Amino acid sequence: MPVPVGAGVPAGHGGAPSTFDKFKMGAMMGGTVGLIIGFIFGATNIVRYGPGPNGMMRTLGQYMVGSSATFGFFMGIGTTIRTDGSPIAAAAFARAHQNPIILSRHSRYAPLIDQSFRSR
Amino acid sequence: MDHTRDPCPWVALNDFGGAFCMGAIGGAVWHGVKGYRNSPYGERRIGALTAIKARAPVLGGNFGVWGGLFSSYDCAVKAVRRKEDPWNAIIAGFFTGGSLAVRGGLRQMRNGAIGCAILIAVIEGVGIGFQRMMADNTRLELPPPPPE
Amino acid sequence: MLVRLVSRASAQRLVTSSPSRTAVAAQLRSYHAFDRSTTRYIRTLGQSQRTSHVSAIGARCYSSRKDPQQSNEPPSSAQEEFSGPKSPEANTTPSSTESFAYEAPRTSRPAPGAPAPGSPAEPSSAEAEEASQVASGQKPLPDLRHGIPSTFAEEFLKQTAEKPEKSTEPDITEKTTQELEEAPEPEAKAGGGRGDSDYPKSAYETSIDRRRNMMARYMYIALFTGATAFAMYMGRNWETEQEEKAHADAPSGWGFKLFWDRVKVRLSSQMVYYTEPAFPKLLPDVDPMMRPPGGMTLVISLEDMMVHTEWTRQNGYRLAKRPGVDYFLRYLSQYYELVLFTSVPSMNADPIISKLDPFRIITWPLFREATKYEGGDYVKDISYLNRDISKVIVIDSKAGHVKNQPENAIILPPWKGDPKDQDLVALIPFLEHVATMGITDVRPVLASFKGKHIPTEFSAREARARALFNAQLDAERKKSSQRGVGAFASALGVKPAGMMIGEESISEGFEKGKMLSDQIRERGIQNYQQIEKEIQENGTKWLKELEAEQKRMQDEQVKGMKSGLMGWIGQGSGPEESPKSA
Repeated sequence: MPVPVGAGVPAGHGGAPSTFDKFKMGAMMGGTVGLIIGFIFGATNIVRYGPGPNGMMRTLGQYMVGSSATFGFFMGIGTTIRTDGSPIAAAAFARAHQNPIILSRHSRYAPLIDQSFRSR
Repeated sequence: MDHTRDPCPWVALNDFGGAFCMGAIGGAVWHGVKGYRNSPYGERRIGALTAIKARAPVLGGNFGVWGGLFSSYDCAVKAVRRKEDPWNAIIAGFFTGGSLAVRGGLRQMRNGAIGCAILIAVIEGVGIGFQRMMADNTRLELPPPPPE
Repeated sequence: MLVRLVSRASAQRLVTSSPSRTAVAAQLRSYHAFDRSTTRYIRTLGQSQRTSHVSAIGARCYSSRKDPQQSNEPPSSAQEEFSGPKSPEANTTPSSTESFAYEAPRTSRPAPGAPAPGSPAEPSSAEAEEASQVASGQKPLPDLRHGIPSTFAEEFLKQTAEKPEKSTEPDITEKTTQELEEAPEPEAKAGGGRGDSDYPKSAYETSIDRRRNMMARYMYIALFTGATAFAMYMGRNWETEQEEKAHADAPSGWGFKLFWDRVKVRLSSQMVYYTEPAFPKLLPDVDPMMRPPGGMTLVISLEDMMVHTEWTRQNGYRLAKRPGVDYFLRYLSQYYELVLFTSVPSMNADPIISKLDPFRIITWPLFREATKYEGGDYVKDISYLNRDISKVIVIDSKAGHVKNQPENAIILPPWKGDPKDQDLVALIPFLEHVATMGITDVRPVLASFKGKHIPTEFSAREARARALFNAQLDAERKKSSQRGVGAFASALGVKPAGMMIGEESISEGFEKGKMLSDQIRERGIQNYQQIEKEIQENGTKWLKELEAEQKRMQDEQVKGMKSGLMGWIGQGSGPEESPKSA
């Protein structure tokens, strides 16, 4: 992808995501919520009051995009101002794939466990 | 146990404050732009500032009231049901929507309550969906064999 | 009421001037008709326009008098009333003395009444005029010379108080009252208090409205039929034998309850994505190199078992670690594969577990994503663990968490931060026994301890076994003291071949009066001490290595993500890596 290198990932997985990353995450979640809400309310209004002057698809699209923009904006701001290790930030942290690095018992504890014991 | 949120009675304060900030800052941006664009040339910055001073706290207050009410009802429902699941939030949203529409009469209360409950249900659903999507990260695998 | 009184009074006055009965009746009828029309007409006027229209109406009142001989003015003037001086004799009684609720000028009435008898011809001519007007279909105009009659009663004392919609104002400077009456009145739509709307509601529907209503109706019908069809489809009988067997509690057949069961089963299977554990196999396959012999797995929970969270206003959240947790984990790591299974989400529990167990003595951590959501509980379902269920022991503080396999579970009371608690550590002898004594299925063992406090029960049983063992030992000693083989062998310094636990053979241990479990326990303690020593010596080194490895993995990931599809979303800050690890 000829995309200039930007941190596509919260800076320092496991560290603190930057302000913009937090905003981005909040905006994504808010945008999704807004899309669904816009669809529901738009459909309800269309069923109750008929499609608008521009037709059903246009009206519905207007509702959906409008709500998603609004919700995304406000959610983004909401996550940005949270500094107490917000769950969104923690979600990004959790994205630091949780492969636990197992201290291999074989390499570490083998001398502790008597081979003779093992052969019981 | 979510260590980012205080336990129940005090979390309403947190949520109220957080929502107020969200509304105030969002309202400042929104009404700033709106005031800028709706003022005559030469008075645009002042117009933006005036609009912000007049409207942003109002929006903050609205958001704050919504958030504080929602959180209080959430705590109340949790105490009554003694369970922790998404239904608490949905019922709290129902009551919040109804409370905020009290002045419009019974029909407006009903509509507002249902609308707010649907909103919260969608938010919870999206949250659960996100959690489930992120859950794939917790897959456990055997570590690579040791070098020796 | 007042209207009726006034009309009667005016009728009286008319009667005194001896009109014909029919004329009077006609006049009365016209008054009532006029009453209604005037009220309607006046109501359509805006407040601001009332005064201006009074004069217009008044002018029309006069101008509609078609009798030019009543005045003395020269006939050439356009408006007879204003062309020249008049005399009181020229005054006519007003054709309509209807003033609806208006009473004050009653006192002044006798004054105009004076000329009335003076000109008996005029009232009759006025009546004739009225009658001719009525005959010709024209309604008499309202007499507004004494103020606008109040329409308060009509508007507010009837039940519906809906304000008439403000449609386009009728342009009354051009039209007469008659035309206005016939024009559709906007308030015919509003309210049901009046029953006299001229047009039914359907007359006000535009074609666009009609189309919209039809569309809405069709959509509702379509929605309803769609929902019904969907419900029928969801409730259909099971199609294959396999499905039939799989859902034995919701069998095929007719009947509402069965139908409902099938619908529920089908719908809930859609939600499976959210309620089931994230992976069907939670743990990787067994690696024989990685686990202690015996193949046992111990599943332990976190909250209220090993740690306890507490919140105060001063200090916020604090975590307390149960006394003996480290000992418990490190000791049992020789015998069991330790698995942590909590109902706390991974993002919340990961910092806790990394602080609690930095050396990863607990091999596998499982969080809420691995639990099953059943009926409001996060159930830890062992069957997903990819391990032999007969060799898994679960220790938990809530019975609801293990309700799918209660026979594998030990339920301890939740730990609330008591520093003198010993329940966890007291389980160690029992667990050690189960792991090392060659028990193939833990479930009967746990069942035998059901309902009892495990440590006390176990020690009681052990005491009994010890008594038995000692008795046996004494019996054997008596027997073997008569032989000398064993003594001979030991005298030669040859250690008898046989199984060994550590440095001494089992039989030797027996001789010394130690049961097998005692010997194992001794060996275990030695092992544990070695583990402890190693950790103390190399602990910090291992931690550093761990950190370095994690950082390496993160760097790999960041590189991977940058080149991936997510790169376009993140044009954020530069890749500042803070080496803070988990």
